[in-house]
Amino acid sequence: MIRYLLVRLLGALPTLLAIVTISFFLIRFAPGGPFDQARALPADVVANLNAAYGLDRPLWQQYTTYLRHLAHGDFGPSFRYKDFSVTELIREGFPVSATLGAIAIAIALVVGVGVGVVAALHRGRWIDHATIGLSVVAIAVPSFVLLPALGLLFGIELHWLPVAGWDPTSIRDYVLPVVTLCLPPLAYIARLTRASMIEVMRSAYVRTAFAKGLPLRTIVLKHALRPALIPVASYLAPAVAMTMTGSLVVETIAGLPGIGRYLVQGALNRDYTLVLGMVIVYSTLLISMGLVVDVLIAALDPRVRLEA
Amino acid sequence: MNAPAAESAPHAAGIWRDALRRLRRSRAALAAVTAITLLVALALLGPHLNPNRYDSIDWSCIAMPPGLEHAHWWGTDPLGRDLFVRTLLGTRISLAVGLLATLVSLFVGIVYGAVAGYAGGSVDHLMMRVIEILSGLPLIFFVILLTVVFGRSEYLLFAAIGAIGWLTMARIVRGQAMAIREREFVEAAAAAGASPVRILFRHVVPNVIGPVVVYATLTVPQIILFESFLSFLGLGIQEPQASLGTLIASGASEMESAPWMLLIPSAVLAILLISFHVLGDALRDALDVGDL
Amino acid sequence: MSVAPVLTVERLRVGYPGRDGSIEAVRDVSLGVDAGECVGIVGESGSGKTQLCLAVMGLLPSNARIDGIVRFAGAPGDAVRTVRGERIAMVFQDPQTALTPHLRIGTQMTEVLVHHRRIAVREAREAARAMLARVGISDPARCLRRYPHELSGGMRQRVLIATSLLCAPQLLIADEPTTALDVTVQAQVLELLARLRREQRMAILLVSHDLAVVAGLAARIVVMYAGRVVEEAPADALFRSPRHPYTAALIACAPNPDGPIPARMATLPGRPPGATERFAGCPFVSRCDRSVERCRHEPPPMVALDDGRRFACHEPLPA
Repeated sequence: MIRYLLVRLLGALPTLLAIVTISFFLIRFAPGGPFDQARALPADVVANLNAAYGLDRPLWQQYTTYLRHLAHGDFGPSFRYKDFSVTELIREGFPVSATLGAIAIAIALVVGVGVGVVAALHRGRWIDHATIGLSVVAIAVPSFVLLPALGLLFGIELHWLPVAGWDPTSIRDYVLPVVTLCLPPLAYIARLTRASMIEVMRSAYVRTAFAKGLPLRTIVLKHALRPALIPVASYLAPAVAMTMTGSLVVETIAGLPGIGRYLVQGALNRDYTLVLGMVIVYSTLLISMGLVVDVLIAALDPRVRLEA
Repeated sequence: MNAPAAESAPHAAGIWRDALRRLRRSRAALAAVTAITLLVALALLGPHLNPNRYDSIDWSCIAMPPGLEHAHWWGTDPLGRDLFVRTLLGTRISLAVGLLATLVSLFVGIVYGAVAGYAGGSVDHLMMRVIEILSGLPLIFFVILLTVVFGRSEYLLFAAIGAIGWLTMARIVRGQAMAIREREFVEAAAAAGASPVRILFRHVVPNVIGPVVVYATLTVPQIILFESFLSFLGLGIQEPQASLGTLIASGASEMESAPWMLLIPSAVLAILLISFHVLGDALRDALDVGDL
Repeated sequence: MSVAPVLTVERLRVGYPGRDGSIEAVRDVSLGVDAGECVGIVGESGSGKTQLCLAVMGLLPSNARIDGIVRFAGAPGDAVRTVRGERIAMVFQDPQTALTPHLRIGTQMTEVLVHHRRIAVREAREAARAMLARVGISDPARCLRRYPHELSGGMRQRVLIATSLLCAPQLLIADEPTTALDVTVQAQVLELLARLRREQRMAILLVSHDLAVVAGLAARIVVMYAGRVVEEAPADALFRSPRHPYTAALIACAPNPDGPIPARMATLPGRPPGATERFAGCPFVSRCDRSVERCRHEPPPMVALDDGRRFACHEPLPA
């Protein structure tokens, strides 16, 4: 198991390197630079800044320097957030984004699976139709529509919850962003669970379990649920990607101090190191999710062997 | 589908007729088709029905609420621009982006998937490995980077968005191509001396159309969503042009004082997306495609 | 028969609403199984055997339309549902898929006893181990710790049989218990069923498409065709002188295990009517070489004879 994890993690390094390389040169080919501002700086100031950050050297040299620093865990200084290193920015923002994302995924999993199972067991009845209908709405309505709409309803009309602003001690600030983030993956998970549960409940081994005279509860929880969860486990990696995408918007709208806003701002400001740092963080997360998914599937299905 | 594998390609017309019949019986699908047709018609014709232009500023009507008693039926934005015209033009752009990018991803996905599935063996293995690696990447971040690199060219944006959507398509087509390759009518064609390219396009591609149609229907809303997402973040369509995303973004900042600026484009986008999803689901059931 | 029947099925019909009219899987079937008796049901695939068994067990899908009476003598109020898995058990055709893949054999066996007998898991495990030994598994303790995919098909079927017998049922329904198995394993499983029937004094309803499988074990054989019973008789009488032409054709098709191997296997031309088809007369008419005009229009009535034989045919073979 440990060997498997090590081999897989080592195998991910070339992928990560490829991502960093492509991103590095992509952002560099974008017109403009980090010191272009609305109020143009004098040319000699820009030249000094470029020299200070090493931007005057050949591109390949900057690339190798960046990689060398990266190997020591140093993401470099941010060009826009003066006096902050990218590492510091990530260290401050990541816990907020991660908490938000983790809560959203956890809720999506628990509620989504629950709803999916109930819908599957009541196939063709109103509760099933309602699940399918609502899931389409949840998948189709984008987060940047949902969050303002929820804010309009619960914040401005009903005054139940804050619309924006951030107070890390207040759970209420989390509610709308988490709801917005969790709904699309929740809907997908509910649909996946429903479909696979219907299939499993038709399987021969569930029929055997019924023939043994076991109560429905035991059959569903003990015999049917675990195999039905396999497609859900495979979906976890895309779900995390979806939540990341959502967090870009949700954090911006709700004004949360996570890292979601850095990618877009970094790209627009040509904050090279910040963009690369974000790409690395997100890629690592996604690649690790792929690994988590494989381990989960092996845990769910004893026939699957983990082979590196 | 249980179409008998005859010497000639399976009779496709019958399958489609059945599917159409089943589709017609679904009330949700009918409602979705109606909604899409209406929105498309509105997007194409609507702006001509109103005297206002999308970028003309009416200083006498700043942030005017919707109403039929004045010329700005759906109200105006903080600059006094007409929201009826802007929303419908935004819808037009969103639809165009969705269709164009879907076509790009369809083309790439079908060619890639058909070649991989039909070639099989080590070629297939290599091509699937590439897909596996690509699908493990946060592609949206690459699109964000691409939009920065290519600046403000909308066409390149379409291409970039389409270029990230082909992975699933390729997987579906590959699976179908592999299954069809084994069928008798393809073997017969190969035995009769047809070239692989000819077989691919005459026999394999037409037979994957069912799943492809379903997936394309589900891709259009994803890309519309994606485009409006990018526009919302300020990376997509640029002022004074509008897409549903930019309208929602500017509406969200005014939602306390002028909620219609948020609600109208949001409602249009939501109806558009839900309709495409419902239609895609109904098509999937009607064509008996199974989960994608 | 002097013994009271343990299972009585009267005028059972099973149907499904279908896109092109309803599907009739079982059409008016009556039969009885006495305590301790082995009854065989024989018929081609699609003749309604499995649907009949599932209807008896109450395992049909919720969209099935069931009509008729199923009485199980061992259950309060004759309802099978309450004693399913305890007094009436079933073994299915395909042992490859009939065990839950992610649960160990031990878990899947003990849960039956724990649920029905309310005994401790330790006790149940001991009982399961003993039962595995009885069905001929060489290292039962080890087998209990295995996952289904780690066992061979024959072992899985033994496990399934052992599981079904844990609560000492009065009736075991075995639906094609040997069809998915190798020939040598088939014989072993049949032998096992015969021995267990003697030891446990339980009744068996043995279902197969293969007359040879049923022949060795069943005292009485019911022949089904297109969802109906066409003939029933004591096994030796049925083989000696079949009265229904379909039974005769089945016997002709089955290779005689004692006789010489025929140069060419006899086969029955044609197909039975589909489950959606309606027929006015005898379902076998299109394949029957004895059919006369009225076979097409008039359903043959069931004729019951004194020796426990019954058949439904206008032009039966001579006794």
